[in-house]
Amino acid sequence: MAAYQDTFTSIPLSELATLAQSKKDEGARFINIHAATVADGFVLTYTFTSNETVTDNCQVHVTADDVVPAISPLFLAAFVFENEVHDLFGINIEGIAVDFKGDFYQISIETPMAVPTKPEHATAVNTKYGATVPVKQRKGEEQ
Amino acid sequence: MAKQTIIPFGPQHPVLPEPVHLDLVVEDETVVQAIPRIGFVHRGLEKLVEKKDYTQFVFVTERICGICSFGHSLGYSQTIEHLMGIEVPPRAEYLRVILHELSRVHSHLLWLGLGADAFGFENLFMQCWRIRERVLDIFEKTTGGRVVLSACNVGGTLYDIDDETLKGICATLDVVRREYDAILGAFLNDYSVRSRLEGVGYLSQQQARDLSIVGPFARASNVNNDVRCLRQGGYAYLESFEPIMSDGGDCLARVIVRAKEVYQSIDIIKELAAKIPAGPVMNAPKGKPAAGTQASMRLEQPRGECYYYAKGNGSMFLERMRIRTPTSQNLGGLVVALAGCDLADVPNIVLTIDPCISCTER
Repeated sequence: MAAYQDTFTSIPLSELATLAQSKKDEGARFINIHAATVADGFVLTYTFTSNETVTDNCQVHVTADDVVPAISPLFLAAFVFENEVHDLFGINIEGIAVDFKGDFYQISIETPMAVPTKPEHATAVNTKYGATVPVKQRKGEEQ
Repeated sequence: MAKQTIIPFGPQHPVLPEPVHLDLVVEDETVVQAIPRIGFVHRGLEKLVEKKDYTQFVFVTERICGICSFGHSLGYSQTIEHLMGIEVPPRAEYLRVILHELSRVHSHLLWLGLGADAFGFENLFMQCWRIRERVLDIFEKTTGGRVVLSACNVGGTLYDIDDETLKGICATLDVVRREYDAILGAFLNDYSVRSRLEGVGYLSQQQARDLSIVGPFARASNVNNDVRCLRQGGYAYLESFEPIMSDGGDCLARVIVRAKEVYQSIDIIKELAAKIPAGPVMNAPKGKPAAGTQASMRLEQPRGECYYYAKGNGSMFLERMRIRTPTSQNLGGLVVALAGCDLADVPNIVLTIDPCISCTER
């Protein structure tokens, strides 16, 4: 087998459903979905591999108000991660194959992973949730 | 049509060492649907990356799970090395694979014991765990504890294992192999074991592909996604590597794949221990992950492929760290394998994916 490679590509949200269908058609294996908080919303990373050698990370920028189509009807394994990004980040995902409607994780605060710990994150998340969390400067981080 | 009843299974159940809940929809004694639920012990460790710098976070990753603790520190370290372009000394690569494969031996022996306990073969459970103790003794001698902690870090390993100790490890593994030979027949040939596992929880090769399942669960359905085939890190130094496969697709096939992987791991350790080069074991990282850089990595843990992702932001802290563990990937396969099974077979099927909820709830 060839050496390991990983690739990162950005696609618009409108192309996500097409991408998932094309991955399904070419027999790609689903690996992961995860979200990351950015200044003006979130980046969702969808990971697949078509040949086990290349880890193909497709990134979609979404805002807190966007509705993201679920890929779990095509890749059932994705239902865990779609419920996860909904519960932990508050991203709206529509059409999850097994939809727990926010009850997948037993969490004590709403969207705990989206709670801002950096000033630049605070604006985007606080706009949606109205929360104010004190932000502390961390050791080793540059001003 | 028979009346449907929902039976809750877990989060506390005799066969479950960790909390996962299944709503089993049954008609008479047949499960028609299973709905899994997790989240009882979620710890939010990925969020901690904002509070621990990238060299400290390795100690968080190895606390994700007590069984594959070394694997998580290895996967995380490899991801950061890939992100920052750090070259790891060859001796450290060898040592990493040796410790990782030892973890696989102990994980599989632990699982085989739990499996035996689930199908009611208590003596076999005790024998598996007795043999596993020899591996834990190796851990205690080489890393200072029965759970491997603080052995791996970004850039290599934190300490060396001398050649004399490596010879001792190989001698201990010869004993493990002899003792394991004596009990393996019970897993492979015993009538009562076969009657509990054969044809139970079947997943075809096509289903396994469609469900994107990983690890021995997938290899038992003849789907090869063993990341070791990519020959990353110390695996590049092996003469050859062939994954253990089976086309059985049932619980028995999953037992057979894991049972044979114990031998495979012993062979890998002995091959690498025999030709490990001298030299340093650490190339200490310098600098910080650059802003906007990102990397992903896959590692074959005992339970299957684990995916790691890291993104730098120019400081000592990572912007995001993601760890996707094998059990979370296999939950979809579990749901399909459970549909149509007898209620009495549910514990065996759940166990044959080797669920690790503490990994899943990282």
